[in-house]
Amino acid sequence: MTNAPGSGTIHFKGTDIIIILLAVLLCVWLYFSLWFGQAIGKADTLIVQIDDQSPTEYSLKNDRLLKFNGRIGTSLIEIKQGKARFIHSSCRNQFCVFHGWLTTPGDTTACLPNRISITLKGYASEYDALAGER
Amino acid sequence: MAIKIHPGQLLFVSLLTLLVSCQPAPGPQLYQQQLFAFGTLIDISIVTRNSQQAQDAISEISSEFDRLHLQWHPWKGGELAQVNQQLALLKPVAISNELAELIKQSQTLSQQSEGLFNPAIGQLIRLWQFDQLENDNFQFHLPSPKAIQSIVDRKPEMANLKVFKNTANKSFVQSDNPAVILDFGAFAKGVAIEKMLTILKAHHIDNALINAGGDLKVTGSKNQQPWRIGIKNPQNAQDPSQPAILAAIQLNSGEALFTSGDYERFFIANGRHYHHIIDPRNGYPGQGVRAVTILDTDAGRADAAATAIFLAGPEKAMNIARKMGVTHLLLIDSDNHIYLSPAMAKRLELLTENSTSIFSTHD
Repeated sequence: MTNAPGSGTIHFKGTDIIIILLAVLLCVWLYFSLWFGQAIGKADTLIVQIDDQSPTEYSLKNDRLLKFNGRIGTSLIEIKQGKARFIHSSCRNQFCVFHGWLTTPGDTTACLPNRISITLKGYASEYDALAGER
Repeated sequence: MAIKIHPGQLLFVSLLTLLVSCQPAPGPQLYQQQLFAFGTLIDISIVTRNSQQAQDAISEISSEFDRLHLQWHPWKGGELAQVNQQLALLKPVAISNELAELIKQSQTLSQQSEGLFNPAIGQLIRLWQFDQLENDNFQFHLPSPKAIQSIVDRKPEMANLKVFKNTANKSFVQSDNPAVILDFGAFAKGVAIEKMLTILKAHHIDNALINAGGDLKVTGSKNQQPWRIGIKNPQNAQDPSQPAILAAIQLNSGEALFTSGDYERFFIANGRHYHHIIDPRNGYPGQGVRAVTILDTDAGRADAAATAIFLAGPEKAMNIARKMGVTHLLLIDSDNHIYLSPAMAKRLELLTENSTSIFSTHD
Protein backbone atom coordinates (compact mmCIF):
# COMPACT_ATOMS: atom_id res chain seq x y z
CA MET A 1 0.00 0.00 0.00
CA THR A 2 1.47 3.36 -0.98
CA ASN A 3 0.27 6.80 -0.21
CA ALA A 4 1.44 9.11 -2.92
CA PRO A 5 2.30 12.40 -1.23
CA GLY A 6 -0.09 15.17 -2.17
CA SER A 7 -2.26 12.99 -4.37
CA GLY A 8 -5.04 12.54 -1.74
CA THR A 9 -5.62 8.90 -2.72
CA ILE A 10 -4.39 5.51 -1.52
CA HIS A 11 -3.29 2.91 -4.00
CA PHE A 12 -4.14 -0.72 -3.21
CA LYS A 13 -2.28 -3.62 -4.73
CA GLY A 14 -3.64 -7.10 -5.41
CA THR A 15 -2.33 -8.59 -2.14
CA ASP A 16 -3.90 -5.71 -0.16
CA ILE A 17 -7.30 -6.57 -1.62
CA ILE A 18 -6.89 -10.23 -0.67
CA ILE A 19 -6.03 -9.26 2.89
CA ILE A 20 -8.97 -6.85 3.12
CA LEU A 21 -11.30 -9.52 1.76
CA LEU A 22 -9.96 -12.04 4.28
CA ALA A 23 -10.46 -9.52 7.10
CA VAL A 24 -14.06 -8.91 6.03
CA LEU A 25 -14.72 -12.66 5.84
CA LEU A 26 -13.17 -13.12 9.29
CA CYS A 27 -15.47 -10.40 10.66
CA VAL A 28 -18.56 -12.07 9.17
CA TRP A 29 -17.50 -15.51 10.44
CA LEU A 30 -16.72 -14.19 13.94
CA TYR A 31 -20.06 -12.36 14.07
CA PHE A 32 -22.07 -15.49 13.37
CA SER A 33 -19.94 -17.90 15.36
CA LEU A 34 -19.80 -15.71 18.46
CA TRP A 35 -23.44 -14.59 18.44
CA PHE A 36 -25.09 -17.77 17.26
CA GLY A 37 -22.38 -20.42 17.55
CA GLN A 38 -23.55 -21.73 20.91
CA ALA A 39 -26.98 -23.12 20.26
CA ILE A 40 -29.44 -20.87 22.05
CA GLY A 41 -31.63 -22.78 24.49
CA LYS A 42 -29.17 -25.66 24.75
CA ALA A 43 -27.47 -26.48 28.01
CA ASP A 44 -23.68 -26.17 27.98
CA THR A 45 -22.70 -25.96 31.64
CA LEU A 46 -23.34 -27.91 34.84
CA ILE A 47 -23.41 -25.97 38.08
CA VAL A 48 -22.74 -27.95 41.23
CA GLN A 49 -23.52 -26.43 44.59
CA ILE A 50 -22.41 -28.09 47.81
CA ASP A 51 -23.97 -26.76 50.99
CA ASP A 52 -23.31 -23.03 51.29
CA GLN A 53 -20.08 -23.05 49.29
CA SER A 54 -19.89 -21.03 46.11
CA PRO A 55 -21.03 -23.05 43.10
CA THR A 56 -18.61 -24.73 40.70
CA GLU A 57 -19.13 -24.94 36.94
CA TYR A 58 -18.30 -27.86 34.64
CA SER A 59 -18.54 -27.93 30.86
CA LEU A 60 -21.04 -30.42 29.46
CA LYS A 61 -18.74 -30.96 26.47
CA ASN A 62 -16.56 -33.50 28.22
CA ASP A 63 -18.13 -36.73 29.46
CA ARG A 64 -16.97 -37.44 32.99
CA LEU A 65 -17.85 -38.65 36.45
CA LEU A 66 -17.74 -36.20 39.34
CA LYS A 67 -17.56 -37.29 42.95
CA PHE A 68 -18.44 -34.95 45.82
CA ASN A 69 -18.56 -35.24 49.57
CA GLY A 70 -21.63 -33.75 51.22
CA ARG A 71 -23.16 -33.75 54.69
CA ILE A 72 -23.93 -37.45 54.88
CA GLY A 73 -21.61 -39.03 52.34
CA THR A 74 -20.70 -39.03 48.69
CA SER A 75 -22.70 -38.18 45.58
CA LEU A 76 -21.64 -39.35 42.14
CA ILE A 77 -22.68 -37.20 39.19
CA GLU A 78 -22.33 -38.20 35.56
CA ILE A 79 -21.91 -35.84 32.62
CA LYS A 80 -22.64 -37.52 29.30
CA GLN A 81 -23.45 -36.13 25.85
CA GLY A 82 -24.49 -32.73 27.13
CA LYS A 83 -26.69 -34.12 29.93
CA ALA A 84 -26.09 -34.67 33.63
CA ARG A 85 -27.55 -36.83 36.42
CA PHE A 86 -26.99 -38.24 39.87
CA ILE A 87 -25.96 -41.86 39.46
CA HIS A 88 -25.37 -42.48 43.15
CA SER A 89 -25.95 -40.66 46.40
CA SER A 90 -25.63 -41.73 50.00
CA CYS A 91 -29.25 -40.77 50.78
CA ARG A 92 -31.98 -43.32 51.49
CA ASN A 93 -34.88 -41.77 49.56
CA GLN A 94 -32.90 -41.52 46.27
CA PHE A 95 -35.12 -38.74 44.82
CA CYS A 96 -32.01 -37.27 43.19
CA VAL A 97 -31.21 -40.53 41.40
CA PHE A 98 -34.88 -41.14 40.43
CA HIS A 99 -34.94 -37.67 38.86
CA GLY A 100 -32.80 -39.03 36.02
CA TRP A 101 -31.14 -36.91 33.35
CA LEU A 102 -31.16 -33.12 33.40
CA THR A 103 -31.34 -32.00 29.78
CA THR A 104 -32.70 -28.43 29.68
CA PRO A 105 -31.18 -25.17 30.92
CA GLY A 106 -32.73 -24.30 34.28
CA ASP A 107 -33.42 -27.93 35.09
CA THR A 108 -32.22 -28.70 38.56
CA THR A 109 -32.28 -31.45 41.14
CA ALA A 110 -30.71 -31.95 44.51
CA CYS A 111 -29.78 -34.52 47.05
CA LEU A 112 -31.25 -32.56 49.97
CA PRO A 113 -29.93 -34.82 52.75
CA ASN A 114 -26.43 -34.50 51.26
CA ARG A 115 -26.96 -30.81 50.42
CA ILE A 116 -25.70 -31.12 46.86
CA SER A 117 -27.58 -29.59 43.95
CA ILE A 118 -26.94 -29.79 40.21
CA THR A 119 -28.34 -27.28 37.72
CA LEU A 120 -27.93 -26.93 33.97
CA LYS A 121 -27.14 -23.58 32.43
CA GLY A 122 -27.26 -22.53 28.79
CA TYR A 123 -25.68 -19.72 26.80
CA ALA A 124 -29.02 -17.96 26.37
CA SER A 125 -31.78 -19.80 28.19
CA GLU A 126 -35.27 -19.53 26.80
CA TYR A 127 -36.73 -19.48 30.32
CA ASP A 128 -35.95 -17.48 33.42
CA ALA A 129 -37.17 -20.37 35.58
CA LEU A 130 -38.73 -23.81 35.33
CA ALA A 131 -41.96 -24.48 37.22
CA GLY A 132 -43.14 -27.87 38.42
CA GLU A 133 -42.35 -30.63 40.90
CA ARG A 134 -38.73 -31.20 41.74
CA MET B 1 -3.55 -3.53 -10.27
CA ALA B 2 -4.35 -0.55 -8.05
CA ILE B 3 -7.55 0.88 -6.56
CA LYS B 4 -7.85 4.47 -5.44
CA ILE B 5 -9.45 5.08 -2.05
CA HIS B 6 -10.05 8.50 -0.56
CA PRO B 7 -8.68 8.92 3.01
CA GLY B 8 -12.19 10.03 4.04
CA GLN B 9 -13.50 6.60 3.07
CA LEU B 10 -10.84 4.94 5.19
CA LEU B 11 -11.78 7.18 8.14
CA PHE B 12 -15.47 6.27 7.65
CA VAL B 13 -14.72 2.53 7.75
CA SER B 14 -12.52 2.98 10.83
CA LEU B 15 -15.26 4.89 12.65
CA LEU B 16 -17.79 2.22 11.69
CA THR B 17 -15.51 -0.44 13.18
CA LEU B 18 -15.28 1.59 16.38
CA LEU B 19 -19.07 1.81 16.59
CA VAL B 20 -19.49 -1.94 16.15
CA SER B 21 -17.12 -2.60 19.02
CA CYS B 22 -19.14 -0.36 21.34
CA GLN B 23 -20.91 -2.04 24.28
CA PRO B 24 -24.02 -0.68 25.92
CA ALA B 25 -23.35 1.01 29.25
CA PRO B 26 -23.58 -1.55 32.10
CA GLY B 27 -27.27 -1.76 33.03
CA PRO B 28 -28.90 -3.70 35.86
CA GLN B 29 -27.36 -7.14 36.30
CA LEU B 30 -29.09 -10.42 37.03
CA TYR B 31 -27.97 -11.60 40.45
CA GLN B 32 -28.71 -15.28 41.17
CA GLN B 33 -28.26 -17.43 44.23
CA GLN B 34 -29.33 -20.88 45.30
CA LEU B 35 -30.23 -21.73 48.90
CA PHE B 36 -30.90 -25.01 50.64
CA ALA B 37 -33.82 -23.92 52.77
CA PHE B 38 -37.38 -24.79 53.71
CA GLY B 39 -36.69 -28.43 52.94
CA THR B 40 -36.08 -27.65 49.29
CA LEU B 41 -33.83 -25.86 46.85
CA ILE B 42 -34.58 -22.16 46.46
CA ASP B 43 -33.39 -20.11 43.49
CA ILE B 44 -33.46 -16.36 43.88
CA SER B 45 -32.99 -14.08 40.86
CA ILE B 46 -32.71 -10.35 41.44
CA VAL B 47 -32.24 -7.65 38.79
CA THR B 48 -30.26 -4.80 40.27
CA ARG B 49 -27.34 -2.44 39.68
CA ASN B 50 -26.27 -2.99 43.26
CA SER B 51 -25.01 -6.46 44.12
CA GLN B 52 -24.62 -5.54 47.79
CA GLN B 53 -28.32 -4.70 47.91
CA ALA B 54 -29.11 -8.13 46.43
CA GLN B 55 -26.79 -9.90 48.87
CA ASP B 56 -28.32 -8.16 51.88
CA ALA B 57 -31.84 -9.09 50.75
CA ILE B 58 -30.87 -12.71 50.06
CA SER B 59 -29.24 -13.12 53.44
CA GLU B 60 -32.36 -11.78 55.17
CA ILE B 61 -34.56 -14.05 53.02
CA SER B 62 -32.36 -17.01 53.88
CA SER B 63 -32.69 -16.51 57.63
CA GLU B 64 -36.42 -15.83 57.31
CA PHE B 65 -36.92 -19.10 55.39
CA ASP B 66 -34.96 -20.91 58.14
CA ARG B 67 -37.03 -19.27 60.87
CA LEU B 68 -40.37 -20.10 59.23
CA HIS B 69 -39.26 -23.63 58.39
CA LEU B 70 -38.59 -24.29 62.07
CA GLN B 71 -41.64 -22.41 63.39
CA TRP B 72 -44.03 -24.13 60.95
CA HIS B 73 -42.51 -27.59 60.94
CA PRO B 74 -45.05 -30.13 62.26
CA TRP B 75 -42.71 -31.83 64.75
CA LYS B 76 -39.17 -30.39 64.66
CA GLY B 77 -39.34 -28.35 67.89
CA GLY B 78 -40.57 -24.94 66.69
CA GLU B 79 -43.86 -23.29 67.55
CA LEU B 80 -46.12 -25.54 65.47
CA ALA B 81 -44.49 -28.69 66.87
CA GLN B 82 -45.24 -27.50 70.41
CA VAL B 83 -48.81 -26.61 69.48
CA ASN B 84 -49.27 -30.03 67.85
CA GLN B 85 -48.24 -31.72 71.09
CA GLN B 86 -50.90 -29.84 73.04
CA LEU B 87 -53.83 -29.74 70.62
CA ALA B 88 -55.05 -33.22 71.54
CA LEU B 89 -55.63 -32.03 75.14
CA LEU B 90 -58.52 -30.01 73.67
CA LYS B 91 -57.61 -26.99 75.82
CA PRO B 92 -56.73 -23.47 74.60
CA VAL B 93 -53.10 -23.29 73.42
CA ALA B 94 -51.34 -19.91 73.31
CA ILE B 95 -49.97 -19.13 69.84
CA SER B 96 -48.22 -16.25 68.09
CA ASN B 97 -50.31 -13.90 65.97
CA GLU B 98 -48.30 -15.11 62.98
CA LEU B 99 -49.40 -18.73 63.51
CA ALA B 100 -52.97 -17.63 64.30
CA GLU B 101 -53.03 -15.87 60.92
CA LEU B 102 -51.71 -18.98 59.13
CA ILE B 103 -54.36 -21.19 60.75
CA LYS B 104 -57.19 -18.76 59.97
CA GLN B 105 -56.15 -18.34 56.33
CA SER B 106 -55.98 -22.09 55.88
CA GLN B 107 -59.37 -22.57 57.56
CA THR B 108 -60.95 -20.32 54.94
CA LEU B 109 -59.17 -22.05 52.05
CA SER B 110 -59.96 -25.49 53.47
CA GLN B 111 -63.66 -24.68 53.71
CA GLN B 112 -63.71 -23.23 50.17
CA SER B 113 -61.99 -26.38 48.88
CA GLU B 114 -64.63 -28.59 50.52
CA GLY B 115 -61.92 -30.07 52.75
CA LEU B 116 -59.67 -31.24 49.88
CA PHE B 117 -57.02 -28.83 51.11
CA ASN B 118 -56.80 -30.03 54.69
CA PRO B 119 -53.79 -29.13 56.90
CA ALA B 120 -55.48 -30.97 59.82
CA ILE B 121 -54.36 -34.38 58.50
CA GLY B 122 -50.84 -34.15 59.94
CA GLN B 123 -51.24 -37.66 61.39
CA LEU B 124 -51.80 -39.08 57.89
CA ILE B 125 -48.80 -37.20 56.47
CA ARG B 126 -46.74 -38.56 59.34
CA LEU B 127 -47.99 -42.07 58.69
CA TRP B 128 -46.94 -41.76 55.03
CA GLN B 129 -43.60 -40.25 56.13
CA PHE B 130 -43.83 -37.38 53.64
CA ASP B 131 -42.81 -35.02 56.41
CA GLN B 132 -39.42 -36.74 56.55
CA LEU B 133 -38.09 -36.09 53.05
CA GLU B 134 -35.11 -34.14 54.37
CA ASN B 135 -34.20 -36.79 56.91
CA ASP B 136 -31.94 -39.54 55.96
CA ASN B 137 -32.30 -41.94 58.84
CA PHE B 138 -35.59 -43.54 57.87
CA GLN B 139 -36.69 -46.28 55.53
CA PHE B 140 -40.05 -45.94 53.80
CA HIS B 141 -42.57 -48.53 54.86
CA LEU B 142 -46.11 -48.83 53.57
CA PRO B 143 -48.58 -47.74 56.28
CA SER B 144 -51.11 -50.36 57.34
CA PRO B 145 -54.60 -49.88 55.85
CA LYS B 146 -56.01 -50.18 59.37
CA ALA B 147 -53.89 -47.31 60.70
CA ILE B 148 -54.90 -45.15 57.71
CA GLN B 149 -58.59 -45.94 58.13
CA SER B 150 -58.61 -45.20 61.84
CA ILE B 151 -57.33 -41.65 61.22
CA VAL B 152 -59.72 -41.06 58.30
CA ASP B 153 -62.65 -42.27 60.46
CA ARG B 154 -61.85 -39.68 63.11
CA LYS B 155 -62.30 -36.94 60.46
CA PRO B 156 -59.66 -34.38 61.44
CA GLU B 157 -60.51 -31.08 59.75
CA MET B 158 -59.75 -27.37 60.05
CA ALA B 159 -63.27 -26.69 61.31
CA ASN B 160 -62.29 -28.59 64.48
CA LEU B 161 -60.11 -25.62 65.41
CA LYS B 162 -61.20 -22.39 67.02
CA VAL B 163 -58.80 -19.44 66.87
CA PHE B 164 -59.54 -16.57 69.25
CA LYS B 165 -57.97 -13.75 71.23
CA ASN B 166 -58.25 -13.17 74.95
CA THR B 167 -58.87 -9.77 76.54
CA ALA B 168 -55.11 -9.08 76.51
CA ASN B 169 -55.16 -9.48 72.71
CA LYS B 170 -53.19 -12.75 72.89
CA SER B 171 -54.02 -15.45 70.32
CA PHE B 172 -55.12 -18.97 71.18
CA VAL B 173 -56.16 -22.08 69.30
CA GLN B 174 -58.38 -24.83 70.66
CA SER B 175 -59.27 -28.16 69.06
CA ASP B 176 -62.39 -30.23 69.64
CA ASN B 177 -61.00 -33.31 67.86
CA PRO B 178 -57.97 -35.16 69.28
CA ALA B 179 -57.12 -36.48 65.79
CA VAL B 180 -56.12 -33.00 64.56
CA ILE B 181 -52.39 -32.53 63.93
CA LEU B 182 -51.43 -29.55 61.79
CA ASP B 183 -49.14 -29.96 58.78
CA PHE B 184 -48.88 -26.97 56.46
CA GLY B 185 -46.85 -28.78 53.80
CA ALA B 186 -49.35 -27.72 51.11
CA PHE B 187 -49.53 -24.09 52.20
CA ALA B 188 -46.48 -22.87 54.12
CA LYS B 189 -44.29 -22.45 51.04
CA GLY B 190 -46.83 -20.18 49.37
CA VAL B 191 -47.23 -18.02 52.47
CA ALA B 192 -43.45 -17.95 52.97
CA ILE B 193 -42.84 -16.76 49.39
CA GLU B 194 -45.26 -13.88 49.98
CA LYS B 195 -43.20 -12.89 53.04
CA MET B 196 -39.99 -13.06 50.99
CA LEU B 197 -41.44 -10.62 48.46
CA THR B 198 -42.22 -8.24 51.30
CA ILE B 199 -38.56 -8.46 52.34
CA LEU B 200 -37.44 -7.69 48.76
CA LYS B 201 -39.72 -4.66 48.71
CA ALA B 202 -38.22 -3.42 52.00
CA HIS B 203 -34.80 -3.65 50.30
CA HIS B 204 -36.14 -1.57 47.37
CA ILE B 205 -35.82 -4.49 44.96
CA ASP B 206 -38.54 -4.20 42.33
CA ASN B 207 -37.51 -6.93 39.89
CA ALA B 208 -37.05 -10.45 41.20
CA LEU B 209 -38.08 -14.07 40.94
CA ILE B 210 -38.18 -16.53 43.84
CA ASN B 211 -38.37 -20.18 42.83
CA ALA B 212 -38.83 -22.53 45.79
CA GLY B 213 -38.51 -26.04 44.46
CA GLY B 214 -40.45 -25.32 41.26
CA ASP B 215 -43.09 -23.10 42.89
CA LEU B 216 -42.46 -19.46 42.21
CA LYS B 217 -43.54 -15.87 42.33
CA VAL B 218 -42.23 -12.87 40.42
CA THR B 219 -42.20 -9.15 40.93
CA GLY B 220 -41.48 -6.59 38.24
CA SER B 221 -39.76 -7.80 35.10
CA LYS B 222 -36.39 -8.81 33.73
CA ASN B 223 -34.86 -5.96 31.73
CA GLN B 224 -38.29 -4.64 30.69
CA GLN B 225 -39.31 -8.13 29.53
CA PRO B 226 -41.87 -10.16 31.49
CA TRP B 227 -40.38 -13.13 33.38
CA ARG B 228 -40.66 -16.14 31.09
CA ILE B 229 -41.34 -19.49 32.72
CA GLY B 230 -41.22 -23.03 31.35
CA ILE B 231 -43.67 -25.49 32.93
CA LYS B 232 -42.07 -28.91 33.21
CA ASN B 233 -43.62 -31.84 31.37
CA PRO B 234 -44.49 -34.65 33.84
CA GLN B 235 -44.03 -37.23 31.05
CA ASN B 236 -40.37 -36.24 30.76
CA ALA B 237 -39.77 -37.51 34.31
CA GLN B 238 -40.40 -41.12 33.22
CA ASP B 239 -39.40 -40.88 29.58
CA PRO B 240 -36.53 -38.50 28.75
CA SER B 241 -37.37 -38.72 25.03
CA GLN B 242 -40.53 -36.68 25.78
CA PRO B 243 -40.20 -32.87 25.62
CA ALA B 244 -38.85 -31.42 28.87
CA ILE B 245 -41.13 -28.40 28.75
CA LEU B 246 -44.91 -28.69 28.51
CA ALA B 247 -45.77 -25.03 28.12
CA ALA B 248 -44.31 -21.54 28.26
CA ILE B 249 -45.88 -18.63 30.07
CA GLN B 250 -44.97 -15.01 30.75
CA LEU B 251 -45.75 -13.78 34.23
CA ASN B 252 -46.86 -10.28 35.10
CA SER B 253 -45.56 -8.58 38.20
CA GLY B 254 -47.05 -10.13 41.33
CA GLU B 255 -48.06 -13.45 39.76
CA ALA B 256 -47.26 -16.82 41.30
CA LEU B 257 -47.15 -20.26 39.68
CA PHE B 258 -47.62 -23.30 41.94
CA THR B 259 -47.66 -26.97 40.98
CA SER B 260 -48.76 -30.15 42.72
CA GLY B 261 -47.55 -33.26 40.94
CA ASP B 262 -46.99 -36.96 41.47
CA TYR B 263 -43.79 -37.25 39.48
CA GLU B 264 -40.88 -36.24 41.71
CA ARG B 265 -41.58 -36.87 45.37
CA PHE B 266 -42.68 -40.44 45.73
CA PHE B 267 -41.71 -43.74 47.26
CA ILE B 268 -41.79 -47.11 45.56
CA ALA B 269 -43.05 -50.10 47.53
CA ASN B 270 -44.07 -53.49 46.09
CA GLY B 271 -43.58 -52.07 42.61
CA ARG B 272 -46.08 -49.23 43.12
CA HIS B 273 -45.54 -45.48 43.27
CA TYR B 274 -46.81 -43.70 46.35
CA HIS B 275 -46.68 -39.93 45.90
CA HIS B 276 -47.01 -37.19 48.50
CA ILE B 277 -50.46 -35.69 47.84
CA ILE B 278 -52.66 -37.46 50.36
CA ASP B 279 -56.44 -37.45 49.87
CA PRO B 280 -58.11 -36.63 53.22
CA ARG B 281 -61.23 -38.57 52.11
CA ASN B 282 -59.53 -41.98 52.04
CA GLY B 283 -56.02 -41.41 53.40
CA TYR B 284 -54.22 -42.56 50.24
CA PRO B 285 -52.27 -40.67 47.54
CA GLY B 286 -54.71 -39.04 45.10
CA GLN B 287 -55.40 -40.95 41.90
CA GLY B 288 -56.11 -39.97 38.31
CA VAL B 289 -54.10 -36.74 38.06
CA ARG B 290 -50.42 -36.24 37.28
CA ALA B 291 -50.09 -32.53 37.91
CA VAL B 292 -51.98 -29.30 38.54
CA THR B 293 -50.46 -25.87 38.00
CA ILE B 294 -52.19 -22.76 39.35
CA LEU B 295 -51.47 -19.15 38.40
CA ASP B 296 -52.64 -16.63 40.98
CA THR B 297 -51.52 -13.35 42.52
CA ASP B 298 -51.64 -14.91 46.02
CA ALA B 299 -48.93 -17.57 46.37
CA GLY B 300 -50.56 -19.09 49.48
CA ARG B 301 -53.88 -19.56 47.72
CA ALA B 302 -52.11 -20.91 44.61
CA ASP B 303 -50.29 -23.46 46.81
CA ALA B 304 -53.46 -24.65 48.58
CA ALA B 305 -55.49 -24.69 45.35
CA ALA B 306 -52.88 -26.80 43.50
CA THR B 307 -53.29 -29.53 46.13
CA ALA B 308 -57.09 -29.25 46.36
CA ILE B 309 -57.61 -29.33 42.58
CA PHE B 310 -55.16 -32.23 42.19
CA LEU B 311 -57.43 -34.20 44.54
CA ALA B 312 -60.65 -32.84 43.00
CA GLY B 313 -59.77 -34.32 39.60
CA PRO B 314 -60.90 -32.97 36.22
CA GLU B 315 -64.64 -33.32 36.90
CA LYS B 316 -64.68 -31.10 39.98
CA ALA B 317 -61.62 -28.95 39.17
CA MET B 318 -63.42 -25.84 37.91
CA ASN B 319 -65.99 -26.03 40.67
CA ILE B 320 -63.36 -26.07 43.42
CA ALA B 321 -61.27 -23.44 41.62
CA ARG B 322 -64.22 -21.08 41.50
CA LYS B 323 -64.99 -21.61 45.20
CA MET B 324 -61.36 -20.86 46.07
CA GLY B 325 -61.32 -17.76 43.85
CA VAL B 326 -58.84 -19.24 41.36
CA THR B 327 -59.26 -18.63 37.63
CA HIS B 328 -56.04 -19.90 35.99
CA LEU B 329 -55.47 -23.64 36.13
CA LEU B 330 -53.74 -26.37 34.16
CA LEU B 331 -54.43 -30.03 34.92
CA ILE B 332 -52.78 -33.10 33.40
CA ASP B 333 -54.55 -36.38 34.06
CA SER B 334 -52.90 -39.79 34.31
CA ASP B 335 -53.50 -40.37 30.56
CA ASN B 336 -51.53 -37.15 29.92
CA HIS B 337 -54.62 -35.36 28.66
CA ILE B 338 -54.36 -31.61 29.33
CA TYR B 339 -57.23 -29.57 30.74
CA LEU B 340 -57.08 -25.77 30.84
CA SER B 341 -59.37 -23.17 32.33
CA PRO B 342 -60.37 -20.58 29.68
CA ALA B 343 -58.27 -17.90 31.42
CA MET B 344 -55.22 -20.19 31.50
CA ALA B 345 -55.68 -21.14 27.83
CA LYS B 346 -55.29 -17.47 26.91
CA ARG B 347 -52.00 -17.21 28.77
CA LEU B 348 -50.23 -20.49 28.00
CA GLU B 349 -48.21 -21.41 24.98
CA LEU B 350 -48.47 -25.22 24.79
CA LEU B 351 -45.34 -26.88 23.42
CA THR B 352 -46.41 -30.52 23.26
CA GLU B 353 -48.80 -32.51 21.10
CA ASN B 354 -50.89 -33.81 24.02
CA SER B 355 -54.65 -33.89 23.53
CA THR B 356 -56.07 -30.82 25.20
CA SER B 357 -59.49 -29.60 26.28
CA ILE B 358 -60.69 -26.35 27.74
CA PHE B 359 -62.93 -26.48 30.81
CA SER B 360 -66.34 -25.00 30.32
CA THR B 361 -66.97 -22.01 32.57
CA HIS B 362 -70.37 -23.48 33.46
CA ASP B 363 -69.10 -26.73 34.98
